[in-house]
Amino acid sequence: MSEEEEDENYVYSDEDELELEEEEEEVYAPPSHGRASEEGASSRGSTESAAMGGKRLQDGTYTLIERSEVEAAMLAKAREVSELLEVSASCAEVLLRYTGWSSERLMEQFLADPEKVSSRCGVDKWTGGCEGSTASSLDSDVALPPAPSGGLTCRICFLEVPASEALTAPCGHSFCGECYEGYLANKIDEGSSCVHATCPEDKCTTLVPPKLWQRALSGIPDKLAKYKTFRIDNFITFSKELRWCPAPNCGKVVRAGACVASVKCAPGGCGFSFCMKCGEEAHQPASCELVQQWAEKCQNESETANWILANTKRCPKCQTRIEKNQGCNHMSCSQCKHEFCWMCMGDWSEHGASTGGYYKCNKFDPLKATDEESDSARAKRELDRYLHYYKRYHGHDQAQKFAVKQLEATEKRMVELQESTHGSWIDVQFLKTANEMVIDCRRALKSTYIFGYYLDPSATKQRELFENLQEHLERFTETLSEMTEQPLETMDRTEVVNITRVTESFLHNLISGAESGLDVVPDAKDPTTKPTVAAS
Amino acid sequence: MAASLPRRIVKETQRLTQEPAPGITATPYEDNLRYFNVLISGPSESCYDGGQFKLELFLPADYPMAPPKVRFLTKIFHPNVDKLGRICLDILKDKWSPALQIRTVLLSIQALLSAPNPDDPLDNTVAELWKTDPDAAHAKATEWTRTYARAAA
Ligand SMILES: [Zn+2]
Ligand SMILES: [Zn+2]
Ligand SMILES: [Zn+2]
Ligand SMILES: [Zn+2]
Ligand SMILES: [Zn+2]
Ligand SMILES: [Zn+2]
Repeated sequence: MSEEEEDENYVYSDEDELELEEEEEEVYAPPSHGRASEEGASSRGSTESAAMGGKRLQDGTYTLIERSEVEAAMLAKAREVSELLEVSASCAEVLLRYTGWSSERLMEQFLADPEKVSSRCGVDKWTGGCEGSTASSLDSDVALPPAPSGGLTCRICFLEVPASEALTAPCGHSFCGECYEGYLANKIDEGSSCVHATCPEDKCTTLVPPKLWQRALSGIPDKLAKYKTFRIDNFITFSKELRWCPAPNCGKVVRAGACVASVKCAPGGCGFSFCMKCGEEAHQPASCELVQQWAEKCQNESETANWILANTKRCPKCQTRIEKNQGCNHMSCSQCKHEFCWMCMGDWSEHGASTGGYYKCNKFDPLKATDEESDSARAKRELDRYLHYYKRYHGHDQAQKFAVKQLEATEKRMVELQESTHGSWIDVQFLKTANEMVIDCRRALKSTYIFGYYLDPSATKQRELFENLQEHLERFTETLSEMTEQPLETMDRTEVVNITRVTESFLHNLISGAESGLDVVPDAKDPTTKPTVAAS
Repeated sequence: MAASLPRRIVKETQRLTQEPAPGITATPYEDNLRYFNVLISGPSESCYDGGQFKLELFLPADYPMAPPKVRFLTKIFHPNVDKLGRICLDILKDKWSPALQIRTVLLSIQALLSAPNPDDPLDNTVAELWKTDPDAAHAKATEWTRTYARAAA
C-alpha cells in the first residue's frame, strides 16, 4: 500500500532528450510515418538538452538503434546527473528512475530536499561519489561495508556463516551469499520490478546496489544479464524517445525525435510499423484510444462477426465457396466467372467508373431509424452497423496480411524482371515500393473503419468528407494491389510508379484530413494536390 | 519429505513449539511438515476477546523467499478478512521479507485483530459498516466471536 502512495510522486517526463553520440546516423522517415503530432511538439522542451549539450533527433525523424547504444545512452545520462548531484552514477541511475528519467525534475526535487529524495529512493545509506564510476561501468561505484569479522548467523537460513561468505548491503545488514543469491534470483523471476529490490531485512528500505547484485549473482550469469536488461527496459519505458519494436523476436529499439506518431522498424529491422505512443501496430488516422475501444468491441462481438464472415464467403451468384487468396477485393468466381466485391459482395461492375460510381461499398446506409422502432430492431441495426465496419476492417486486415506475404514473392519477381529486362536493381525497385505502399494503405484503411465507426453520426459533413477520402484511397489501393499481382509480362513500370505515387498522396490526404478534424476541402479531381485547410 | 525440509523450517518449528508466543499455537501436520494448524486467541479488550480462531498456514516451496500462505478457518467478522478467510496484510504480500518468520506473521495477525484497518479492506461491506456505524460493527464482531469462535474448553 505504501508503494502505491509513493507512486503518486512519480512524474513521468515528456521533456527528456537522450544524449546519444550521433555519428551521422542514417535517419529514416518514410512518407506515411514520422508525421507531426501536435501534442509531442508542444510538450518537448529543449531547455534540458541544450543545458546538457545533448544532441537531439530532428523533429519528425527516427532511427533504429542497437541495445548497446541504449545502454551507453543510459550510462551517459546517469553519469552527467551523477556529476551534477555529486553522487555515484549507480545512485544517479536510481534517482533518475524515481522521476521517470527526467533529469530536470530530479534536479528540482533533489536540490530542494536531498535527504528526502535519497531516502525515498533507498539510496540514503549508499556511499561513494561520482569519481568512483568508471567510464565503462556503473556497477562498482557503491561501497559495500564488510560483514562482521566474527561471522554471523544468517537470518534467512539460520546457518552460521564466516564473514567471507556473507554479503552486506550499505545499510549494514548481512546475509549469507547463498541466501542473497536465492533472494535476488527470486526478484528477477518477479519481473521488471526487480530494479526496486531492497535489502532482505524486514522494513529495511535500502536498495540493493548493482555491485551487490553482481557479487550475489556471479554464479548465475544469465540472471545477472536479466537484471541489466530490466534496467535498460526501465530506461526505454520512460524515455518517450525510445520504444522496443513490439514485433515478436525482433528486439530492435527505435529512437524517434519529436512529433513522430508512428514508426517502421527499418532499415535493418523487421519492417513492422507501430505507434510510438501505445506500441500497437500503426493505426493512423484512428487514435490510440479508439483502437483500444475497437479491440474490446471486436472481442465482445467476435462470435457473431465470425459467424457472419464464415457465411458470406460464397459466390453471390452460384454459391460456390470462394477462398480469397489474393490481396485485391475484386473477386471473380472460378465457377461462373461472376465478378464481385469481397467487401460488400456486390456486383463489381457497380463499383466501376463506367457506372458512374466508384467503390461505393464503404458507406453504411442504415434504414432510417424511426421513433417507434423496437428495441430488438435497434439492436439489430446497431449490430449491422458494427458488422459493416468490421467486415471492411477485417477485409483490409486479411488483404494486408496477404500483401506482407507477397513481399517475399516480390523479391523474386524483382530478380526475374531484372534478368528479363537487363535493367539495374534500382530499375526494379518500383515493384517493392508498390507492394509496400499497398501494405501501408491496407493498414491505414483498416484504421479508417475504426475511425469511421466512432465518428459522430450527426457530423454529416465530416462523415461525407471522410468517406470521400476513404473511397479514393480504397479505389487506388485496389488498383495498385491488382497491378502488383499482375504477371510480369504485362507489367507497365511507368503506370505502376504513377499509381504508387498517386496512392501515396491519397494516403497523405486521408491522414492529414482526419487529423485536422476533417475541416478540409479536398480536391477529388487532382489527387496530387494536398487538401487545403479551411481557415478556422 | 521430512528429509528435504530446510534447516530453517526445522528450527522455526522447534522454536514455535518450545517457546510459543502468548496466545498463539502452531503445530505442523505429521504427514506434511510445511502445513500448520494454528490457533490464535482473540486479544483482550478487542471484539474478538474470548474467541479461539483456527487458521491454516502453509509454507510454499520457495519459502522463505516467498511469504507463507495463511487463512482463517474460523468465521470472523473483520474488515481485513474476506468470506474465504483470506487476510489482507502487507507482510503477506509485497512487504514480505525473508528475514520475517512464521512467528512474526502470526503476531502480526494477532495485532490485526486488536487493530482492524477498515481503510485497507478486503471485505468492502464489512469495512463500510466499520466506518459508518462502528458500534454496530463491533457488536456484530463480538456476536460472531461468541457464535463461531467459542473456545473449546
Ligand atoms: Zn543464509
Ligand atoms: Zn538493510
Ligand atoms: Zn522490429
Ligand atoms: Zn497508438
Ligand atoms: Zn460463382
Ligand atoms: Zn464493395
